Amino acid sequence: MTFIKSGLPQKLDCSLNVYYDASATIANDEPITYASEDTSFNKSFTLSRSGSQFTLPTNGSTYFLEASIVYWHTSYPVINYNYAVTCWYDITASAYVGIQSNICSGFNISEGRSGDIVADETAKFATLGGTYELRLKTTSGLLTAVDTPSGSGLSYVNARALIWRF
Amino acid sequence: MTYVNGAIPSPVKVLLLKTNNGTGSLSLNDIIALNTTPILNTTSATINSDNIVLGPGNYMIDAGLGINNSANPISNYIGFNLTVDGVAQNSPASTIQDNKVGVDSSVCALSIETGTKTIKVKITTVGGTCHVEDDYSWVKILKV
Repeated sequence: MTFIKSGLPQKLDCSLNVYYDASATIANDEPITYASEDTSFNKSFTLSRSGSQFTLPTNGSTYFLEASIVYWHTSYPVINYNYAVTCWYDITASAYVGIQSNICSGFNISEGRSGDIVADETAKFATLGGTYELRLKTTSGLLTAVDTPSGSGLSYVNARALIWRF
Repeated sequence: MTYVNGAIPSPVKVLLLKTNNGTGSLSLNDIIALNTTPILNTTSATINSDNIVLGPGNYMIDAGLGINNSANPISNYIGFNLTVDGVAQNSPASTIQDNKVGVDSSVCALSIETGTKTIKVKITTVGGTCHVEDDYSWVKILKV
């Protein structure tokens, strides 16, 4: 017989994959490819990936997907009040899924001046498995890339896709 | 004899849902309507039309609201906050665009020993006229 006087020590059972180097054809409904993975923090897990598509095995795990892009345009310092919308896309169901993101160009005050939407910059989705990709659902204005070009300096933000496995 | 070597992995349960508030103009103290068909719910939470009931467990909760501001970012904005049994939490959020000092999502950590607690998303400030955009608005709950 085993006696346990109090609660056993527990640790969170989760892993995280982080992807970067985002690129896309700049048009509505185009997939976004994250070409590289950061495994330096030793909490990643093996995941099948082909181009823009992530295949999450249906094996009892729960996955949480979140991703952001950069609204990169080459017209700086011209301020343009434009935006891009991203959303996760279910390849099997041919449908957008989850919570959309809205990324504005220029300063924070630019958000909502075109397209009327003020929202979080991260697209979110939760699932028990399947094949998904992030898509550039809607674009407007001067968007030329979805990530900061390499060599642009440390002060710029960068695009990331995070896949949590619980 | 049984030995327990180290900590036991504790699986994280997930709830993610959209709001269901429609396009009605927001007012102070409004409680945001929720989509009772979640994107995913592996927790045992009960989802009602404007609240979520949680049982014992440890939770990290965040909620974000996207709004339509009719292209007027200076005048049209909201502030919002999670409430637990009607009590506002300590990390409110804002969509305000002019001299913004807030964050986009409201967050709280919650530990429930026994019984239940009720979670809501409440409008705490309103500037001008705006409404929720449900496709950009969520409640996320992680449970261990």
